[in-house]
Amino acid sequence: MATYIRARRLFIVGITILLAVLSFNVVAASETGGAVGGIFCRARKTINVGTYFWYAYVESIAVAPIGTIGYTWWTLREVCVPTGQITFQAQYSGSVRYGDDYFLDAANIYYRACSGQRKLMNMGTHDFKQGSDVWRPYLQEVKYK
Amino acid sequence: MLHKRFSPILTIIMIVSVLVLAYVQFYTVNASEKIHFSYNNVTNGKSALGNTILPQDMLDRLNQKAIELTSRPGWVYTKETTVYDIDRENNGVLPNGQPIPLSHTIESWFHINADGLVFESVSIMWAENGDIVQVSAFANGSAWNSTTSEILHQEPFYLGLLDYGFTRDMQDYTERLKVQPDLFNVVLEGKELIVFTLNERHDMPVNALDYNEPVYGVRTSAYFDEESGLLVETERIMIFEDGTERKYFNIALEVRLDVLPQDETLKYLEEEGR
Repeated sequence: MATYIRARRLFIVGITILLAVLSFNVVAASETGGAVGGIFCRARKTINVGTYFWYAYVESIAVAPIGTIGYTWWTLREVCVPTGQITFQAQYSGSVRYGDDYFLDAANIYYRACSGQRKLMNMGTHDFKQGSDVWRPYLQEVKYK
Repeated sequence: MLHKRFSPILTIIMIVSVLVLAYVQFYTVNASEKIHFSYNNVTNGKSALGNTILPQDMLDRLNQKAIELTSRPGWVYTKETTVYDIDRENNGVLPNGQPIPLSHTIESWFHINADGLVFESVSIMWAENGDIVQVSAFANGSAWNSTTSEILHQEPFYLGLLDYGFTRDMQDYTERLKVQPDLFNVVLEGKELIVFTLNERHDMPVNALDYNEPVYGVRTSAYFDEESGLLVETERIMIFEDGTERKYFNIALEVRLDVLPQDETLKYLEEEGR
């Protein structure tokens, strides 16, 4: 049953990523790996650049269920490069799942007004805990549109 | 054993994947038939302006005039008065705790060199009550924002079109959807304006941070001054399931070559003034 659930989850994630890749012009991701309590983990941030909006998501992944998985804080920022003005910012803190091996949070954001290039930023600190072992990598993905 | 357990699952995954891919391909191929709203004033290169000019040719002509103005050596001043209508109190909170108001004005001074490149600039965002929200400056190869205090390397840059990406959006629109934008002219306060409109339905409803309900379509209009070629106003309308519309943003743009920065503005170009 557990294998079936994992296979189903893998399928859903795979289809989601496939659809995202097909729907957007450009996909970019930053990724890093580490371990807590001997369990291998990955932190990933992705930005997909669309025509009218951008799609950002944060993923925390472990090869087996761990005590706590998610992020401590997550910030999305849009900067208009020619003026240097920050035109949008959203910040979230402390979102986690317990006893799980996967965490995903995502957001679509319509582009703010800007003449020229936009700098899109997806940044923040992931949260992995297993027993007394903690891994909190900061990871940032930047994309220009 | 594992193989036997997985076989039916893998078969189902493969069948569903093929069906999903087929659906996506079908949807993509038929996108141009699905995006139309009820009107399109331009057919076969014949526009509502009553002549045979194509929208792209008209926009190229306007852009040529605008670029000639904004690439001259000296100061280019812009004043953007922007209003957003979204289901959020603001456009977020800046790193210094200051909210980015939905209604604000950005004044910018871009200093253009003999090569037509911006080599220094200052931008100030003002709230409606006259408070400064944020200041950003670029000088001596570095860019700075008052709310982060970060100093980033930046090369002199080409100012380009002050059109909020409309030229790029229109090119993308005509190439992707194989339709021409609406094109017409209006006279406003004695000025002849050329108006382009892009009208598009999303392939799938979009759940965005900006609205509590999904957005089904987007309509963008841009108003250009026929004489100067400069964009003077642009708006983006969001369309919801029941056909109701909300103006995501409206921007009035003023571009002038005769407004020089005052001393209190110039001080932001000096490191000690930040």
